[in-house]
Amino acid sequence: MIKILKNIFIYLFILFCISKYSYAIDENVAVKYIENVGQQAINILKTPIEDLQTRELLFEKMLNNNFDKKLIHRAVLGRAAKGASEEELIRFGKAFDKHIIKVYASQLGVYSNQLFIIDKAFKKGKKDTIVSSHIEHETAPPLRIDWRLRDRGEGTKIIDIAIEGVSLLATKRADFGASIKKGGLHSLIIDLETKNVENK
Amino acid sequence: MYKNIINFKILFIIVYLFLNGCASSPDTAGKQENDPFESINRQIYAFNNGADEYVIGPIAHAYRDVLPNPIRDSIRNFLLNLKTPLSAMNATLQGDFTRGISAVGRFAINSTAGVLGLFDVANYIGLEPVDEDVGQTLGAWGIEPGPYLVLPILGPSSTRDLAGKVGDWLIDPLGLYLIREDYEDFLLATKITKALDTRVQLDGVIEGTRENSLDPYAIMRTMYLQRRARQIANEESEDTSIYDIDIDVMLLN
Repeated sequence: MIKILKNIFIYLFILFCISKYSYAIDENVAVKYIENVGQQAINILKTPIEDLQTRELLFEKMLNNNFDKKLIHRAVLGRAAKGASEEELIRFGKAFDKHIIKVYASQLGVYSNQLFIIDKAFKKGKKDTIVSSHIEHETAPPLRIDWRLRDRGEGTKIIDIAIEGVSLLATKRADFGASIKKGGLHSLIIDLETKNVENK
Repeated sequence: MYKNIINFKILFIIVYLFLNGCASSPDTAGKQENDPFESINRQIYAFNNGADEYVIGPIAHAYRDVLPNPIRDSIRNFLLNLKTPLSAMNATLQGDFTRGISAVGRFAINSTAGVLGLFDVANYIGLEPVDEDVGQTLGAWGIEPGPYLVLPILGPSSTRDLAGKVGDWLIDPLGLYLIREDYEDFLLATKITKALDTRVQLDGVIEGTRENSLDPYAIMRTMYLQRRARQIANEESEDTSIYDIDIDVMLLN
């Protein structure tokens, strides 16, 4: 009984620690923030696809400045992060960031008069603000992008993106599930590092 | 007569339990996916992946490369217009009368002024495309996706959406009309063209997933379930499924 109560207390304490510094960002602030991020993304699109190195650098800068990488890493790993050493988490973080940069810097496409339009912003729960936007293109249907923002005491950061309703966090978490099941965090790190080498 | 009503009720209860009873997860992403047939699903996925890599993908690429963008846009408009009566029925069945009426208006305008739907004239006057099916209607009625399925060639689905596909076939007014008038070949050709066009639109996602992911099957599964949940919630709704994802719970589980 005491053990159960102790576990409940630890669970509540962790929830309290996570939520302590989080609060929903004002909608106007969120819109301005995403306008700025959108401009950075267009700059990446304007960089020629052949100049992959510059694209990757720009994407890395955007990722480092605008995304809550620590939260994303933990959310993608979920329970697998429990009991992991700090060294393993850092190694995973590096491999994950490199994976994301490699995938998106090359797949973002090129700029051809796309318009980035912000539709609305609204608060979701006590902690998050969602900014809905879409990309308009002459020859393609509009592409809906939703940005989920949170401030955990270190300023406004993006914690998830959903393209046409598909969440990056949920997708990467699903992608890594089998690898984690096979051999835990260590196995995932090895698989990711191997993938990164293959995609060089 | 009385016996028939009882039989129908039993059948309804069985179908309802089949669709709902197996579902352990709600229609949201980021939670444990309901995939009790994973082993066989993965085998069918591997077969579909091979078929796509060597047959369907190259045909879709040829379709993309041979036909210029404006022609493909017109074909897409034409196919969407053919589906609009079905979409109108489904929007109405979902209780979304505004979109139901909008779809009827679109069909009338695009079939005439839009030259049999080749040009989306209705969109220019503010009637946005409506694309609804029976699977979405069942979802809007609160029926959960049920176990995830991978269908040979057709790809990702769920028990609810499989039932929805059968429902589409049974109630599609244009489809039924074409069958009655012995235009089955034309109907089949529209289905194949629609499949190729969808494959072209998803090209980046399919090739990117194949190349970059550690587990393409899992990615496709979560993408499909999230996308369907979003379609059921409808694009303009703030109460969309992906933001039901509790990130704080994800941190702990």
